[in-house]
Amino acid sequence: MSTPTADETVSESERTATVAESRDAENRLAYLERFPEAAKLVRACFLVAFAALGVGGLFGMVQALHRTDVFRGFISSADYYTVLTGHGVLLVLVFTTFFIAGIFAWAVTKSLDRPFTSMRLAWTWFGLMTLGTVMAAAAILAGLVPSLDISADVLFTFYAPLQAHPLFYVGAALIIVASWLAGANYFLTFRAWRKDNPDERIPLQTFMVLTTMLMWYLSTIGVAIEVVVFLIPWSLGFVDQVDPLTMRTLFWYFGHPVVYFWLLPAYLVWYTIMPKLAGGRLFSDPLARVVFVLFLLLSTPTGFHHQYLDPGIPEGFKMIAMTNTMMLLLPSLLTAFTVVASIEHGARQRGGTGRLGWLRSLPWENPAFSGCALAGLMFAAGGFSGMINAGMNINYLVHNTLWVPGHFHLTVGTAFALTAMAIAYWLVPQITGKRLKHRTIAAVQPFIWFIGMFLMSNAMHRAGLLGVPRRTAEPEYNVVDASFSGAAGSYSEMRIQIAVGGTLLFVSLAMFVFVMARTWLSYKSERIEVNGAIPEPLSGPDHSPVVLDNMRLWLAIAVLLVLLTYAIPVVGLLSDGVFGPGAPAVPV
Amino acid sequence: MEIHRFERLWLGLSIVLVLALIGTVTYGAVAEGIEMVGGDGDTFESADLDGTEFEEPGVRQVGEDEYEVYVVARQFFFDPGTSEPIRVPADSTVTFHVTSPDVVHGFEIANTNVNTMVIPGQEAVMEVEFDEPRQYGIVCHEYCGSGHHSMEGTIQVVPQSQYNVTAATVNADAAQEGGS
Amino acid sequence: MIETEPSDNAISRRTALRSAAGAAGGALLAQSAGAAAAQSNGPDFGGWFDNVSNFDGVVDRTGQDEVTVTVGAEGNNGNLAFGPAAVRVDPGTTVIWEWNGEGGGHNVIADDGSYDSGEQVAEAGYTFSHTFESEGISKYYCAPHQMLGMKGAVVVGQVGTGGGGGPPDYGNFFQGVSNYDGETVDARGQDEVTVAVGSEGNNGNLAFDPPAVHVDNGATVVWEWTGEGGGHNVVANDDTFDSGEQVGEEGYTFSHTFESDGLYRYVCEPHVQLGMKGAVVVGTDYPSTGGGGGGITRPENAGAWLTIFAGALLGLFMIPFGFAAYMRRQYPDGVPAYPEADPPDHPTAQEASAVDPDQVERLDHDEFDPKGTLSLVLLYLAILVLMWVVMYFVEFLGGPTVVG
Repeated sequence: MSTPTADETVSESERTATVAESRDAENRLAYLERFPEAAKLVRACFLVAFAALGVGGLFGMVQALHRTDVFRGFISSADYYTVLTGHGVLLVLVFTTFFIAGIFAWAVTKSLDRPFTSMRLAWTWFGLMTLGTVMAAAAILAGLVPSLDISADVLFTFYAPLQAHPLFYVGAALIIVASWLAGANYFLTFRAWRKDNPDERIPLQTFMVLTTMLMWYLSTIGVAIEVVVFLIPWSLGFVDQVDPLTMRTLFWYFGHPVVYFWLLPAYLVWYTIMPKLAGGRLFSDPLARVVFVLFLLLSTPTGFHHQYLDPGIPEGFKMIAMTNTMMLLLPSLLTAFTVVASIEHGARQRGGTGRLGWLRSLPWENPAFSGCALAGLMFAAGGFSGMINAGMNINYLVHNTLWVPGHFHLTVGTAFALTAMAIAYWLVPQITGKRLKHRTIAAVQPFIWFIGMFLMSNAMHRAGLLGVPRRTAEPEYNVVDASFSGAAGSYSEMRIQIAVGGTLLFVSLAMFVFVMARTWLSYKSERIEVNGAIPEPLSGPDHSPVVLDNMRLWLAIAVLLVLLTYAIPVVGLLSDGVFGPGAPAVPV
Repeated sequence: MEIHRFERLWLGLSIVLVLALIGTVTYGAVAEGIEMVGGDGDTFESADLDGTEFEEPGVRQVGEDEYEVYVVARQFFFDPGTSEPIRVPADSTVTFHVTSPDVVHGFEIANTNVNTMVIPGQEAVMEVEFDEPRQYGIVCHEYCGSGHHSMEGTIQVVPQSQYNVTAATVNADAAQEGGS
Repeated sequence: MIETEPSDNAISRRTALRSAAGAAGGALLAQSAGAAAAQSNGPDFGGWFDNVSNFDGVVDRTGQDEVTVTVGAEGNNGNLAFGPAAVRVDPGTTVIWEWNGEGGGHNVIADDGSYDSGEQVAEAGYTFSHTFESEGISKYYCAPHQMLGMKGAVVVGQVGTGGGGGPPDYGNFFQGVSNYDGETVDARGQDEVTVAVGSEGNNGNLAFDPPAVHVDNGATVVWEWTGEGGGHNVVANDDTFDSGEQVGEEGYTFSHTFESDGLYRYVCEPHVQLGMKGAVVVGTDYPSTGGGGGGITRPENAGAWLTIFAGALLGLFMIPFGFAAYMRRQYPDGVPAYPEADPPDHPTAQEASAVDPDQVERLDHDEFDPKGTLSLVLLYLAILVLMWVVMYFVEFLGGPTVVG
């Protein structure tokens, strides 16, 4: 950026705005025209992501109807667990990773304003990730075909000694490894940019991508070791037994930070794009950086809060995980403030007045905005149930009950998924050059998702408090049923809400897929104008200390915190036998 | 670094909230005496139960009002619990010892806070005080295979007067001999 | 002891589901079990036991002067059954119905009016008896609960037993047993017959193979464990044999020599609800039916699954045609050629200005205080605190908790 040759009496913010506008005037090309190769990559990623979303969502509806005993004709109860595995893997491993890879690719090239250093690397990781997906999906879906001896009814968490076909583990490992290569691409491109711009602050979107990827590298070590060192040899028969507790610990080392891997891209959208959609500017760039640094530091040393009720892990480590988790509330609460302030700014610039009346002046008819806003609102509720999950002893109340899916359908199921769908409405025209079709259907879709999720999730939370378990095909028991009675509503009313909510979610998903398909498959027959430029923040990066950009420092501290939290327990787990105490494999 | 004053206020309140949450949980641990499943139980050499206390699952009396219940969770039943209910008297302290020789299970007394994971090779130990006579259901809440949804059990807290200690030990013996 | 309650509920639930999903099929199956068929072998109850969930075939109680039937046994979604539902006695035997106090008020009324216990009684210990002198089939019911399925029968003498055997009558026993295909394997002529424990079936390795086998009187059946499917045992419904504790190891065996004719049902106790059941038919004197052996199981969801799969395939197939028709309507003069890629200085997508067209005024850094945001987040904080207090101190610190 060149020094502006403006009058000294011009205020600093005006100067920044002028510079921004002049830069816009130079580069009036949409993303598609400027970075056609990267746009092709983003399109490919979104295509796989939305296909996985469609299939995974269909499975979700089948499950909702099955477990509430509204309709059990699609599958048998034993096959329910196959469908559940497909739902989990396709949605939170495939849909998420591909979508995130796509949007990060867009964010990096756009904010650094340069193409990837190597498109060959990009297509390599894409190919590898797709191959992994096909392998894992094939292993899972083969479970529905009795004549094939392949199945992977192990659910998304694949706890040993339940054992899937090796194809499943290899496929999952490939997806993770491919994501590492994707990250390498972002870092290489950043390094090239840094050589050309030695003194500049890292553009915010790239900063967010890099910190997220650093957290991802740190966190995937656990699951990579679990799968590559233990589970693949075990499923191939080279290793006789594995220690279920060690496997769980390695998985949850990864299993908590992965939810931030899903959340942080949503934050990227809320911080950098949503203000523009609301007609405003990001309230504070420095605070956004602080938030992402906090996530890099604290995401991984919290995994034990998924193991609060595991025998064999002493209470002290669980306590440390709890305090770390509670501290992770801070960046999210800060995000709430900054993001809402940014959209308030937009509303007021659009003429909104009053303490809360400005909410009406927001562009609710724009599905990109409304989806993000509704997702954020729902995330606020999800944050509360997350607090309960994190409270070490109150976790007794909710562990493995239906409360837990109630919680994560609000977070990854809405905060991530709805944001992804919403921003697709905005981004897909820019990467395809095609006008968004069926704007009315698109405008309504986020609201239907919100209503459906509201119904389903609140009933799941309440049912969990009654003791209804999760991951269960038929939660009607003979004796236990009598205990499903509580203060806040009856179990049968909750079942209906779950079934209706789940169906509405599927309807909303179908609407989204329909709009995307029609837009994507339409002809590029006219010149379109896309509104893809992002204005400068109100409080820019120059207002923050440069140390925030020092990613080596933050990574080092993050590694230190992980060692402090995990070193002693893991050594303890391995000291009584790397592969023991083990139990014989149970193929499912 | 410049932070708007509203945001500084919010940051302060958030930190207070986080401390309050940690404080509440600590209160529960210290004042109410709630302990987490974790350090007490044994770790076995393998998931095989031979030579451990779990060879004879069941209820045993170990003190005036103290009982120990050894439960083995398998695919797809609790032993004891499923084919015969676990019976303990009211106003007693019961220590549950739960493990599994096959896969990861869950053990939750529905509608209470008695809840644990059951992991092969590990012993989950939980001390619970039962006050009133009631019947509870036991649920397995961790996926353990295709029959997972039929895995349930019963625990009956019977009035002291009706509780027959001899019957409890007889049940344990009968279970060992096969069939009851 | 076999848990009849869960399996009864399971059976009646499955029956209800099946009739909801495919009414015709369900009704057909239920009727075939008791329908009068061409042969006259086997007690013909004429559909009497169609809706009686605990009907388990005719239980052999011959050789006894007094036979007890429980009134208020578990069944029919409650304690609304006679246990056992159908018994075979010798002529001259006295049947004593004994109330167990469950299920409300019951009575015992013969279908042909030959005996009647009177007003409904609910007390445990109450008895009513009747001596059966002549051969035949005596059907009876409990008046208030007849519609719910509280019915029974006394078969006096050797009515309905084919001397030559014939298809065994399992009643509803094999409902829900996926690997039972209606066939009883004929293993007569062998001294030792092997049945595998833990074969594939019932969505896992939860089956006996073969599930139904016919052996000679004096033959020995050897159950051999496959090592699959978890822990199993072999326990006869009438307690004549019991393999003991559940065992999971491969190669473990249990055997029993059958020295009296009859139809012996057995289950694997931990997996009975999942359908792990079997039967041994011995000799020639056992309850038989002409009607196809009852309890034919069809995979529960085959019909629905197939329909949906076929429909989906058809739908997918129609999509290209639909799309073509749509294109035809859009471009009646033919679809225009795909436009050539524009040279770089004629972009097809162009960015608009960063300024929002709906913007009314511009607020800069020093002109904006997010008051509305502050109100909203403070409200959120208040809700969080309130809900946390309620959850922790009301919901959580309530019932029994782990204290050590």
